[in-house]
Amino acid sequence: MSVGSSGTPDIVSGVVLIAVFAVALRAFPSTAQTTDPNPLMQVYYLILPSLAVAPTMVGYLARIVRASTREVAESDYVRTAVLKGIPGGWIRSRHIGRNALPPTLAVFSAQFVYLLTGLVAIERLFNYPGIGSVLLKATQSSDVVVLATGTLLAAVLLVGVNLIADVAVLLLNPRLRTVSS
Amino acid sequence: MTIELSKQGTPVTGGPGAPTLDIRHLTVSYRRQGTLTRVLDDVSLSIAPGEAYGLVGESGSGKSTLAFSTVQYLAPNAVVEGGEILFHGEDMLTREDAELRAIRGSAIAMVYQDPSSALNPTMKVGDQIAEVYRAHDLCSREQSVDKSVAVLQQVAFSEPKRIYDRYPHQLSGGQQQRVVIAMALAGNPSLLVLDEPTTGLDLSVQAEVLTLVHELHRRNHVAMLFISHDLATVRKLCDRIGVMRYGRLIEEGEAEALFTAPTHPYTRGLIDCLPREGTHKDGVRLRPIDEPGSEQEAGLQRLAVPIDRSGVPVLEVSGVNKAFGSVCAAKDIALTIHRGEILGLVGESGSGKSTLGRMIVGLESPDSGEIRLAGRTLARTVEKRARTDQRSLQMVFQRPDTTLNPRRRVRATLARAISKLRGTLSVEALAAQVRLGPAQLETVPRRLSGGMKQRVAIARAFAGDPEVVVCDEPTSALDPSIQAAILNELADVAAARGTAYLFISHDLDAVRYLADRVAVMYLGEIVEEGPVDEVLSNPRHPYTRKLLAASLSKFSVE
Amino acid sequence: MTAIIPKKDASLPGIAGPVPRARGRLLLPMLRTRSGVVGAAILAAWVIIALTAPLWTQNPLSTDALATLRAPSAEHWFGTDSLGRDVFARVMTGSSTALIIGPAATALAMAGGIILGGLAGYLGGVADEIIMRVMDFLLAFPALIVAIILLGLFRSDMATLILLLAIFFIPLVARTVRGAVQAVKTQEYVEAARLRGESTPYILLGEILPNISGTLVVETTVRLSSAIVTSASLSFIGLGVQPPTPDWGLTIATEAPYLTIAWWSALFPSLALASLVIGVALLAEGMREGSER
Repeated sequence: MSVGSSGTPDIVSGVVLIAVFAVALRAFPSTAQTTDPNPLMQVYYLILPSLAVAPTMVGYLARIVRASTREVAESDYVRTAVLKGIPGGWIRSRHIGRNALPPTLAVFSAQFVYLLTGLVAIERLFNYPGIGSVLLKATQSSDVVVLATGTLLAAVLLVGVNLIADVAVLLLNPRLRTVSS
Repeated sequence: MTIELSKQGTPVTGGPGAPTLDIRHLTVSYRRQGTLTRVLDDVSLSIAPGEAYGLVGESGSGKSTLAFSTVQYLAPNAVVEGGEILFHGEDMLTREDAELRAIRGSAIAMVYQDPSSALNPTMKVGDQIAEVYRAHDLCSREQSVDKSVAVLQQVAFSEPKRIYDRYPHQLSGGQQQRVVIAMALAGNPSLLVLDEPTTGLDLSVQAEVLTLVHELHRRNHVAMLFISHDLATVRKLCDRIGVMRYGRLIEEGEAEALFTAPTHPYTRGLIDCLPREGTHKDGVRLRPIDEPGSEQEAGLQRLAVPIDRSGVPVLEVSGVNKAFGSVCAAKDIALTIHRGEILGLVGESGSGKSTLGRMIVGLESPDSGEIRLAGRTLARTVEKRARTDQRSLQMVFQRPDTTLNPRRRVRATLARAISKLRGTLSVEALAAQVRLGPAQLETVPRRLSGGMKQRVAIARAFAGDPEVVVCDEPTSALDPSIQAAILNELADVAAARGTAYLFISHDLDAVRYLADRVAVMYLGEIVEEGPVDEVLSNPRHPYTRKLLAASLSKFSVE
Repeated sequence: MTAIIPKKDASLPGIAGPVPRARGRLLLPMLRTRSGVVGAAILAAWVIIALTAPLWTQNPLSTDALATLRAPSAEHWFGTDSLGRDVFARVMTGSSTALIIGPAATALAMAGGIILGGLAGYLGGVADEIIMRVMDFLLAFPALIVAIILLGLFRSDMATLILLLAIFFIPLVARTVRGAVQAVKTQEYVEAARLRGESTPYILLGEILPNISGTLVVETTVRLSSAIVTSASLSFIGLGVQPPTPDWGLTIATEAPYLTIAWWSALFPSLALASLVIGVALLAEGMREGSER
């Protein structure tokens, strides 16, 4: 299932979702914005586009988590914990969780940046004026100022999110903290 | 001991004389790609309360499987075909999960082979011990910390409170293993299972850990199942010994009696095959088990190689220094090896002996100093050396599993070596020198045993008829009986070709057998050097004495 | 259930570790897994379609202003699009662009990544630093921005698109290859090769490469899916392939505005794209499962 969901490109999900829910069932709107000031309505309009983006990212993340967890679960120290008689919940949180999390965080920080800047296709499909669309228009009209600002913003975001992820990993894994051993 | 059990709610059966562990006719197989392979075949043994039972066997004998089956920790593809494992009278194989969890870590505790991977790298060491108390609900959180500190003191830590707060990577191998032992003791077990707890540790650290285990056993009267491939260790530590081979328990008996008068030929072979004091390559061939023709050959003598001490030394090292950051791997090293001589280099991990070997062959470059081969100064890295120098100076590595390219057949590996090193022998002739036949030539490394892979590695090193071969712990990763075979092989080839060796090892017995002279390294310096009998019988430097004592405490002379 | 946590299957002594090897150990077991067979079938089907489509479909380029946006019928199985073209024909012939761009970009990316990653991993030191800094630099820019700029500057067609995709992926491939090479570099048979005086190219190609083939195959499949998806997305936003080529991404873009009134013209190309990508992913999953058995 994760294979299917991570493999589907977001535009495909978008198109399928629109076709099914917006056209056939008429349950959701086919655009992402509304002039209605009610925040609940705004969320309502955003549901379909969110559902379009989510599967790809969730699928990929799920695969990474699964691989990382499996590797940790087969390690010797988890065996030690089992043979010490530690209850399952404890093993999952303290022994497996703490050690399987770092690679997941790394992937997540990369995805976070993508979420903010790389969703041009979905924005176009759902008519949402996002950062990606703005940048696209800027190239087409050779608007250097917007382009420069946008790139700078993206770079800052990238560095910032990676920094947060790195700090989180350091907190989790004491082996990386000290310079001397 | 029985009081602890009833706290966990399991009924106590059997009187005070009943065995703690009673394995009856246990048969276990592994299912792999549809076929069943038997790993334990009708094994029966019993351990009385407070008794230390040593289980000896080589790799593949099934001893580890037996150890883990006592706590019913078997791989998903394991199939128990029959038998029972009675712990205090109750069969472990039929226990429920909850019961197993209650027993594991408290009534039965385990100590593992590789302590560095057995500890959670992200948890404080003390917390991992306290976990045992908390998991079995033996006391409150605050009390568990105090008790953990107390048990750390029991395993000979002088500053237990500081150790509590450390993480595993901040401790040495010996310290890590002591923590694992502390974790095992925390639950006050009635059975302690130790799976090769000292394999891979330095000699002096091994002695330390074994002394600790001996002490603890005497003090706490815990029943012990001690698994090892080293008969000598087990002899000192255990009351009774069992020998396993190919999944069967082939002999069992009182420790001393088994040693002095073994009945099964395999046991006898295990005891006899290793080098011991008094044997030297120049007279005696070792007797590996199961080798075709080894019985007849054992009677034959090996001719001593004439050592040319007057001519130009074949290898000279002078003024070599190397540091990795602040760690000193080599300090002003000076060595000489004459033609036909075997120089042993001993030391523990961190001594710099491997680095020195690698610098000599050019895999690492020294910070300063010179290395001369037959009078010619060698370039610092092997890539820059002349072709003739490359063929004259080769290496045999430690791990047989990674020493050969897994994608190449043996024939291709040897052919490439011969062609690159301008060897004169044919592939068949080279293979014959290390007793490899046409069948082995056509196989891939995956299908060869450790000993055979190492033979191929030796053949590869000799492809170009080298003058000096550096052997970097070539027998350390092998079973004892295979070690004997490889030592024989090295000695035979040296005798036939007159090649000189730098034989690096932490195994003093192997060095005593093979080497003519020996140098002892400690923290990057050579602290003692001389003829092998002199240095190893009358050591002068305190470190050499310490090494020798550690080695002897495992193996006592008849 | 005897345990709460999965444990490794016990392996018999003497059998090598679980790294998958190409050919015998990767392709054949893959075909025995369900995912592998389904994935391979889907890919095979599309390859056949791409090769033979012009023989049995209507002309994908002929427009008919009088028959725009007709619902699916006996004459037009998938209906017609906004310009009156047969959607079925466009979907079927569109497979050829997807099957050219994806593999071509992947091949280029793998070649470049292996060379750069291999050198960085094996040589270490200064060479490693330089190569990886350049890779990091390329990676720092969000992909789309680079795409937009480059495709805006140069003419927008299939060749540029392939080149662009390759440039995107080379740093990622290089990073993976570098890691794999570093793991193998310390193995003793590589050192034995150095002691024989083998040249660096020989060591990389003859000793190291064959032993990281498992990683390489996995990386190739991942890049392939990525290439197919990214090329479609780029065409969707107007970069890359230009009309009237029946590229799936492009078609979805052109027809998406009409989704609410004519769902067929954008839906079928989407489903086709999805099926191809899922096919590749299933194939990769099959290889992984097969090698683990």
